Amino acid sequence: MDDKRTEIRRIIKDTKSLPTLPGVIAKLGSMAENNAISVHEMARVVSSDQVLSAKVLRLVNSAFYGFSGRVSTVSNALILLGVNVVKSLAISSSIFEIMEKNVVGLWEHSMGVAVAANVMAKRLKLPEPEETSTAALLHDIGKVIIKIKLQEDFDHLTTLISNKGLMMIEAERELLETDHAEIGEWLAQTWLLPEKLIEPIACHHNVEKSVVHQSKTAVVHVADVLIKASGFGFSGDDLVPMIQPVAWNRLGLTEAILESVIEEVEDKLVEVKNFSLEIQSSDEPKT
Amino acid sequence: MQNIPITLAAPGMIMAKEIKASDDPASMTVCGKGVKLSESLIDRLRQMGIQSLFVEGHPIALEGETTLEEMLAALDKRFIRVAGDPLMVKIKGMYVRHIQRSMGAADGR
Amino acid sequence: MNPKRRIALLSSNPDLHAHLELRLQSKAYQVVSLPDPSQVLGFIFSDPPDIVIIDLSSPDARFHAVLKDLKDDSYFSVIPVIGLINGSEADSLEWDQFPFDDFVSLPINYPELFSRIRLSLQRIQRIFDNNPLTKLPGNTSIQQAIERSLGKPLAVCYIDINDFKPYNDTYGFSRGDEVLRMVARIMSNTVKESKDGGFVGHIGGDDFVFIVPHAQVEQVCTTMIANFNIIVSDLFGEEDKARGYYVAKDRKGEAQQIPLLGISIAVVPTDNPLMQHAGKVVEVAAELKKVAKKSGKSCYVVDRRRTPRWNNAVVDLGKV
Repeated sequence: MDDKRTEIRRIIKDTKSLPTLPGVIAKLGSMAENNAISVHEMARVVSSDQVLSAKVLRLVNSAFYGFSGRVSTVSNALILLGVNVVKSLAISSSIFEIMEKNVVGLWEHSMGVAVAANVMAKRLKLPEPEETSTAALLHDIGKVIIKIKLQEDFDHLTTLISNKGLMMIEAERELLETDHAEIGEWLAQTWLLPEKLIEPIACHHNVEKSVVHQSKTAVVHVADVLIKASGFGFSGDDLVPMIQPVAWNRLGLTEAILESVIEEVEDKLVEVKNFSLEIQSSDEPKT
Repeated sequence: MQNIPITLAAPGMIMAKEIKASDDPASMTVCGKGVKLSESLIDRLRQMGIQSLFVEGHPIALEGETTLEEMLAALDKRFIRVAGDPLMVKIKGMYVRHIQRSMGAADGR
Repeated sequence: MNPKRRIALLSSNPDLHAHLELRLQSKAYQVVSLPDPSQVLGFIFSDPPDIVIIDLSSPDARFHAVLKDLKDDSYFSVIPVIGLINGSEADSLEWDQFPFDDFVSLPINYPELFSRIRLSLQRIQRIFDNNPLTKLPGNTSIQQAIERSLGKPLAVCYIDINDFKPYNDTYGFSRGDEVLRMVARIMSNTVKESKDGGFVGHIGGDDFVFIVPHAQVEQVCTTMIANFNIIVSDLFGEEDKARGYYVAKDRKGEAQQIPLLGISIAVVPTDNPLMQHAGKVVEVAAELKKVAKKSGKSCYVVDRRRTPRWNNAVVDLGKV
């Protein structure tokens, strides 16, 4: 009998695709029909969605195209794959059959963290802000796996969280012997994503563990905390974790810098909320 | 003041912050602070691609938002696990200030 | 009218053989019968047919051996082989032991067989001409495309990568190949996504060709160079990018400053009375390329000369 970790790794090896919000697919579908839509607009919608972004990155980094773990942003993937390929990938994606609060919640949370990471990376003048933003977008992709492929466990987790007041990650470690960070890491590795995306996904709850991409990991970690503090979206629990001192020091943060980052992020979140409402209504049946 | 999506802007609201043509601080001002919004101005801003704007007071009840007290209580609840850490307490303070500002507490409501 | 296609038939069943031969000839194919398996390969190698049909319904193992030997040879493996098999065996066949390109079940459905023959012939033409690294059309297709463009309001554009050789030498062939694949994708996508699309091809090494309407060419070149710069930006470190070069040892072991990768595009409009034949296009492109390379950065150069007089040459240098 497989232990839990082995079982999960096996599930991940067999995972070729994940579902996303019906609204995103609907929006891309209608964009695809309109030939005047620019590459830029497509990129915007695809890069707002963690599942589609992961899918696109997986394809461009696959053996078929031969770019072996080198492409880390959706916009570069678009240049190399071409609009047609990305369109086909997107509109052939599967969707969540049942829409509930935490599906949209996680989607909003991921987008929020991506925005916060972008703001921070630029404010701190770190290199590769777009790549950092992509890593931030994908940081909780492990949670999608748990929800889709480990339904029963997911329900147990929800119960644990509400009964014991645990954080999602604590409940995961108790029940699954692993957590969404590691699961996300396994998925990203299986899909041959670049290391600069894998490390932040793997270490966003344990910044000390990061080796090569320490700044990116630190940014994703802090961005995650900020979005939880903000209450924007829903990532499984309503609890703000500590900002790990390693991350704070690595980035040379000060309270002043953080406060101004928070201001800028909160402003941008209004637009993200706008976009989210737009996407959710894209799915409404039209007569 | 409150940051609202342009789709919720209505005539009569007053601009709390100016809008510039682009992110570049040296670019032209498109709509100044203190300007009263009209139907045609809102249309023009929307056509320019403006997504959101700051208006005085707190005219809109955004989804999920409630009273100042409720928002601060929710914030407290979120921070409960880290309430003993000095840095996290300071950060909570930053969010408290932000909520107060956006709820127009400084403008007296 | 195409010359008659030659189909080699291999079957140990005389009835099937005779019938098939007649039907194929009725479709204007020239049929070559190869009754004795031991002679087959020699025959094929000395006078290659366009397609081979092998009847594998008979238990003669030598036919199977012919199939394998044919496909083992890299030069002759491009000849399409269609296998005839018993319908009932299809499920249990060890497919990796039978490297056909296509198959038809017995009893033969002739319309289907004819369709498959035409399909196989077309497919081989496509694949054979394609560059193995980038899968883009090769020289035969390129030549035809250039010839078709003469006299029309199109522009034939030649791309090559600046300072590619030292990059290859420094970073290795595997990285060099990646860059070639990137350029191929960027070029194809830019052309495909432009207003009217166009033709793209890979001559070999770091030389590529694309053909687009004259009216779109500046836009396409500008976009292509911009996209190339974005993608290539990931290949170099921050310091190298700031300096505009990287340092590597040349073949003599001495340190050299090597400029970052760029692309040069030579644009030859084809609705020009001076462009009488494809060779002239190639010649002019070579001249333009020299001019483009001199600038030391990514750029495109357009030929605007309409008369043979050199002194009146007006060459447009589009810098990006």
